[in-house]
Amino acid sequence: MDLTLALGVIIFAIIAGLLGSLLGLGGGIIIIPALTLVFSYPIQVAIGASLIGVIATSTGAASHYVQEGLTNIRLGMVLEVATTVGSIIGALVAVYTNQQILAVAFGIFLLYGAYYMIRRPERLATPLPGEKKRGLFDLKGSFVDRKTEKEVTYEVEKLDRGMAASAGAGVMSGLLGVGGGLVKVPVMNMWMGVPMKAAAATSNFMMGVTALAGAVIYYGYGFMSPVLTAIVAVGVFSGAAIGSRTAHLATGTGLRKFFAVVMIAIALLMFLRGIGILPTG
Amino acid sequence: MEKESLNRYVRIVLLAGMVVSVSTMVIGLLLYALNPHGWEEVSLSLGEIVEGLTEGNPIAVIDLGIVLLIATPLARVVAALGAFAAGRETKFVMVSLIVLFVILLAVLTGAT
Repeated sequence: MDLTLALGVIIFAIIAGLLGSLLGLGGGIIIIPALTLVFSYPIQVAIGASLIGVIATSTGAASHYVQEGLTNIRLGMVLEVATTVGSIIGALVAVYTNQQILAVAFGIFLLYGAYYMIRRPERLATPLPGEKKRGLFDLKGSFVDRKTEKEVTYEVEKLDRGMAASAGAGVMSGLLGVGGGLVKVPVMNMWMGVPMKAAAATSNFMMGVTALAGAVIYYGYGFMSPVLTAIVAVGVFSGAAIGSRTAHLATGTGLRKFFAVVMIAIALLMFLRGIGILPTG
Repeated sequence: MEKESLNRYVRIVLLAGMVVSVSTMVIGLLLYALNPHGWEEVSLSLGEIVEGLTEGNPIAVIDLGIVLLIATPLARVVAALGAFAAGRETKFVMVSLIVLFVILLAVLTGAT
């Protein structure tokens, strides 16, 4: 890889990590279109690199969230059974699918991401009346909210629906090289009754193992270009580290709305590439 | 089992894996930048990585970093398994073993 290209990739990777952490997205949603549309990499190679970036950023953030006590490790590990199976299926489909179809699938994912960024549904924790029926697992969670300094405790509901959605998020991760937080976080929050902060931390916790299951398949099938992958991983990781320290600067809705429009534009470019109007790598 | 000790084991493994793997990748990239020609940019098998390291191949160092990073979430599952076993939480020991089994399937799929 020549130096100019390497510099270009690392700049995009740092921006992807930084924006990702400011907007509460993974870096994959930004770096994959950049690698395919700007640098003309085959989409599977971009996905392979992105998955390693997902592992790097989620590992970095996870150790922090676990220390804060926000992560529901037991819930995360139960759902990981579904996400890892999904991730294997997604990765196997991706390595045998042509680039055009993957570009269109990624475009659809971007449109969903844009919708989610504008809507941002959140269910506020409301304790259910009466004694609740316990399921197979005791997944009750608690953490101390740093803003209010109060302890928040919650029960986890509808584990079956959560497992099904997690399998879907896993397929998406393996197929498109993203973390899948855009699916897992609203599912845990809206359906399963997990408070937003705990849902985000638990989703992030699951990403490492989920991406790992997909990544070994891309690695084995030769879609992992080492220099590119390492540059992307180090870049996204550094960007996310900077972002998490400056996150308080940009929590407003303005940046999210702006970025939603950018995502719609990128989705259109991915569609154009999918139908062969833009050249593939 | 105490929530605290599970959190502590998991956090230590994540931190250590992250520091070691990201630094290995950075070192590999620097070595590659100093001597970028004559290396094939491919994902190497574990045996080829060991061989490449003795030959001073920077791609082998980068691939080692990638493999170490991939192994970090795996090590985290093993750490949680240990914590659940120590706390005699049979159901969660089973869950951890199932996750490990699925990862094994993924590795075997990738290796063939």
